Amino acid sequence: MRGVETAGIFIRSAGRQEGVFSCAPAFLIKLLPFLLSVTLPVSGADKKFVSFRADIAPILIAQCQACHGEKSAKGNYRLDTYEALMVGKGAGRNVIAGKPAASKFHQLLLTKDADDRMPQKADPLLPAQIELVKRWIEQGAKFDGADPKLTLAELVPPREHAPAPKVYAAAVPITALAFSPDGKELAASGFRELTVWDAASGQLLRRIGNVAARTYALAWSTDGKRLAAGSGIPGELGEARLFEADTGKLLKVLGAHGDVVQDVKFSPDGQLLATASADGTIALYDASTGARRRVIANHADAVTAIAFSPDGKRLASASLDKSAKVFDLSSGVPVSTYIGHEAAVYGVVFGEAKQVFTAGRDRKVHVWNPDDGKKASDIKGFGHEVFKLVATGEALFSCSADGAVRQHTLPDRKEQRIYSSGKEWLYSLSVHEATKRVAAGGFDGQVWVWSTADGAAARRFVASPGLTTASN
Amino acid sequence: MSRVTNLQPNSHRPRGRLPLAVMLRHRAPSLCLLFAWIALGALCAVAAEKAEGEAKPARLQAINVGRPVRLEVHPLAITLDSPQRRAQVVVTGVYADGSVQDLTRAATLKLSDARVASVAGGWLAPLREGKTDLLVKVGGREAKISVVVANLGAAETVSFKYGALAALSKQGCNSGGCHGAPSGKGGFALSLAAFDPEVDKVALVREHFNRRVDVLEPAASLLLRKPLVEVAHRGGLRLRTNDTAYALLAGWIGQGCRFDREDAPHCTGIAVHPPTGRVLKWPAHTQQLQVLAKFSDGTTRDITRLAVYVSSDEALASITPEGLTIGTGARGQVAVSVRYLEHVEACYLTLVKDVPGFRWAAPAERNYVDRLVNAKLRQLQFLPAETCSDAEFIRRAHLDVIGILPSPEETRKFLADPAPDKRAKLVDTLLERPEYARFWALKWGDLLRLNAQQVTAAGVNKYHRWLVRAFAENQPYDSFVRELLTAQGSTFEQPAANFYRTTATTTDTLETTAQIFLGARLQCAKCHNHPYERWTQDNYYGMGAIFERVRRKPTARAGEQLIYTARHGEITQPRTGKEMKPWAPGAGELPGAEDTDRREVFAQWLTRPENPFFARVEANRIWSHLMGQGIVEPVDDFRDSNPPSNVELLEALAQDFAAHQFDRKHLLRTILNSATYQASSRAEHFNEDDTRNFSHARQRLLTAEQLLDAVCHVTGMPERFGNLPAGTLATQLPAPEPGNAFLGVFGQPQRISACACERPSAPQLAQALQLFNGPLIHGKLQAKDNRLRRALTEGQPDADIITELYLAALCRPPKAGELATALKHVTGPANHERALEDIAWALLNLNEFLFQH
Repeated sequence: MRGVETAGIFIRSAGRQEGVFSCAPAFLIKLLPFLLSVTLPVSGADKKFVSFRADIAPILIAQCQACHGEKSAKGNYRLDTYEALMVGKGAGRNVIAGKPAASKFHQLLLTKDADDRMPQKADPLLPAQIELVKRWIEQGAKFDGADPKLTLAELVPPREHAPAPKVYAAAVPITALAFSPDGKELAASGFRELTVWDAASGQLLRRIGNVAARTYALAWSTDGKRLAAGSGIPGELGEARLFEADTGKLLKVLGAHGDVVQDVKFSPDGQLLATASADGTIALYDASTGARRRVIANHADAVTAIAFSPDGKRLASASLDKSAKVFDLSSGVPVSTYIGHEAAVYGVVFGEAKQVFTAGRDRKVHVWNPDDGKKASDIKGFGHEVFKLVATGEALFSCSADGAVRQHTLPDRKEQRIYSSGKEWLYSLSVHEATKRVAAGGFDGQVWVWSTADGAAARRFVASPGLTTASN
Repeated sequence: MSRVTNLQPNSHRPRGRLPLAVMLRHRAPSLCLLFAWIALGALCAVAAEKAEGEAKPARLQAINVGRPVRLEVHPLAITLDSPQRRAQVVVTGVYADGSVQDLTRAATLKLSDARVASVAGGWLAPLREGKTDLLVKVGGREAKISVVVANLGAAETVSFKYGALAALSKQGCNSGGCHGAPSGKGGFALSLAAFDPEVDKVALVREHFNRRVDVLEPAASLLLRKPLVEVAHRGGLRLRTNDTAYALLAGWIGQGCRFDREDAPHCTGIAVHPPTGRVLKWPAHTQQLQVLAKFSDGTTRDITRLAVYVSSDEALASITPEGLTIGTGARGQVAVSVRYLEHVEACYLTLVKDVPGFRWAAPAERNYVDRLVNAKLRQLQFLPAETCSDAEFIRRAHLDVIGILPSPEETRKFLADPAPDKRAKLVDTLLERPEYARFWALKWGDLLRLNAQQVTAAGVNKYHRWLVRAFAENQPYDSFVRELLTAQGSTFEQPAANFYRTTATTTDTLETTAQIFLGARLQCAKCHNHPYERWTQDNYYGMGAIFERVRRKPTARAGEQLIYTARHGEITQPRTGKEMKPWAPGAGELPGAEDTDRREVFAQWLTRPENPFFARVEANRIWSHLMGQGIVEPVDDFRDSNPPSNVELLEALAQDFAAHQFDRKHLLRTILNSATYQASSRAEHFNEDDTRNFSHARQRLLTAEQLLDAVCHVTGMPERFGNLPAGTLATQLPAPEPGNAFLGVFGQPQRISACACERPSAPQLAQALQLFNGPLIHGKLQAKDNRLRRALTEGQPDADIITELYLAALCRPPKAGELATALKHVTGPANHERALEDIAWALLNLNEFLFQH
């Protein structure tokens, strides 16, 4: 019965099948598998191994998961793990190893009845794809991954992303920026790539490809040897990619979120790498092996930013669910929740001495206590929503849709300096203390670099290879 | 349709024959609940008639082409001068008898050079540059129009507003139930029906780190992949790659998500073909529309597949996204409202059909009302009902004009009167009765919200007396409205000034004024442009400017307010921050409203005889009161997409009303004397499907106040209301009577809003319980000195007592069978008094009593 309950969408065709079987004497039903296996032709060409992980899972992700996934389980049926695909018992089983013709999963790809055929309201699968499914079932519907409970997105081999355009037809918004630890280089988000620029001259140094369409966060390892990118395809995929910074060699692909990764951070000791995703989850990985240590699914909407506490024991998060939270990393349990913004929260950093700063759509920065989530004070004066925050020892930097980067002194929170881009929305921000530089990336594709010594604009360039003028 | 469903289980009995035996058997308390359920079912059946209109699936009928005398092809020539241009062709057959029919679906359309453009379903798309002809062949006739395709080299810039936002509207993305909801859906909020492009710019392009659009790879944009369900979308499949909307959205993104320049051409209006008013005869109940948008630079664009279509009545016709109207086979008038961003046009179609065996016959026409109603009935092939009986007429006319039933004496006299003009005489008499003014003050008390909470107990009486006086003097409607709208001073001394007390804020005043006097529900436009109508937010606040200077100040006297206008005070449109000038619909900015009381200027404009709204709204309200349904329904919801069921009739009534100095009694008299008003409520084969064209009288439950008065009248036991003088009737109450359960249960409104909808018409179980076993009816039936006990005391014979009860309740004597059944019951073994009580109780529970018919 469980099969029918979970796979509600199959109920109708299940009924038909059972109708046929229920007429047959019991001994015939017992014999049926045998009879079928005898009558099924086994062709020599079909013996090429079909991998669930490499061949079947990608089809399920592309064709089924929009409706039968975590977010929308039509007919109360999910197809996001191998385990889910294999639901059902007896003749009602979704997949019957060795017998594609008896497997509803296969039947529903083929049926002529438009009300039953999957995917619904869309073109049928390509004949080659249906053939793959058939052969995989014939070969025993085996699982060749590590854990049948893993989501398909986690299971499939990392994608090879399409190459970036040689020359950009239009500038793309700069959603991520990060100075290298030595301050010489500035990494920026590109379209299906990362771009690395000379921080002093604004010259393009190199391009790192095989990245998902959009990158929302960049983080360097403390030794400057590795560069992590939080990227994804909106509504479809989120992942962090770890590159060798000098060569652009892909070292690791971490995670497979259901939506883009919006922030990525190394822990203070460099051992962990954390990702925050628009699918509402936070994941922690071993920075050297890439093994996943923990998933925190606590927010009700996209997680937009995360920050490690200076001692590395806690992680703070900001979310579109209008809250910010602090988690204990040893347990993954929330320590405190802050709901004072009453609007989407976009930026979060730890200050010194028990302080968390968060920034959001309410055009304010709030200061609150990570132990109890109680508000201490706030910073006003922004002309639009505030996106990212960076804290150094003595200052808090922020970038806003009002076109300015602001520098507030700490701990007194006085506005010390405004770095103005004009009126462009500034999505991204990076600060390098030693070289006294602050950089911000705008919606129009431009990167601004200012000197924190005197507030002067040092550089401005369009970070889209092949383009010199900003968009719009 | 509107056949009274009998209260008793055996609903096949013809109405009027009293199934006393059945009724009496069930007057046991234990059975009352069961009975109440049955009665509720009966009431519900009546209510269900109103809710009828389930959309039937549209089925395309084959076109019977016949022999047209010629073809008309619209447009006369087509130019497709960019790769994105398209054009819809509409082919019309004109026949010898002058009738027309849409032949677009039936015609063979061919381009003489098929390489230049493609054509399918009358929809042309360019293929390559050149000139050719479109050949149209159908019904043995031919026509041709020229087609020019040019400029295919360069893609046209997709306008943000007229392309992308129009596309989102077409697909319903920004509708109220989806991303147009105040807080959007799934974190994505658009302005409702694209009324605020500035909000949409941010939401589409900048919000959430430019997540929704991908200028370098438009097809990868979340904005497209979600509605295509390439990725999970809660809203489901809303877009296909071959939709016009897809091409526009993808094009706009690919061109860099550019916003329109300030000086870009703007849309000045839309034009719909065919022109409004076409008559379609079954089976040709389909009509392809073609819609053009006109721009300020003189260009036009075919937006047939980008306009949003809404049918006013899905039970009559539905419309496809491609602009093909498909009738369901029912007869009547339907409006297709065609919307393109803030531009709205309505196309009225009259759907007619030959009914087998239909032969026109009608009672003699008495005046223009009958002429115009009959013209519509004849066109739609509905037969007008026969004239109602004298008994029905006297009951109906009393309830409609003075709210109460005639006395048995009056009824006997009227029934016995042989004069041929006795009905007209009765109408004249009723219009001069003092109860007339009080009953109509009750009706207007609802609209003007006379209740003690709002204007104090003392204030409500003064306001009520002012209203009664207006009706007693038959104050012309225009003067009445001017007095109300321009009133100022003490609310005690100038009771009309209470209008500004019951509408205590500018927005309340303007909404109430619009709803009562212009028949317009403007509330939507407070926060955004009306999603389906031409009302904009600017209009709303423009009307607000008229009332913004009204001031309300308490005085030293308890309960008194002073109403006056200040010399200054402006209203700003909250979205644009612009200060608004006084504005009235149809008039635009009101000139000369600067220096004087703006209300004066508005009231002058409003009450001009040529004002198209003013007379129509009141004429429709009076019509609706008498006929049980407005020509426009609901009566306070005039809009293009809610057409009058008989345009000519409403127009004639309004003109007559204005031409007679807005004399309400004149209009009442005209309608009351018409054969249409005097039609029977019994439907038959040739008019039972008619719900909107007044072929037969509409049966309806008496209102709460009418019913209470009628119960008191039949039992002879008047009701006392608070400390109001004895003899005050429920239909004459100045304000809602708090704590009267009977009135409450039967829907007496609390007068919180000006909406006609505040008087509910849906039946409730509590109503049936009140009728069967309620304390009010029970008490009156058992009272020592009620009508039947007084008669017993006087020693009247049973037959006389029963006859008197019949005359009081039903305005007719009992039929022989009814009298026999009743007599048998009262001469039975039961207590005699109690048995007579049973008869009275049974009468009070008859549909013939409870309903106006």
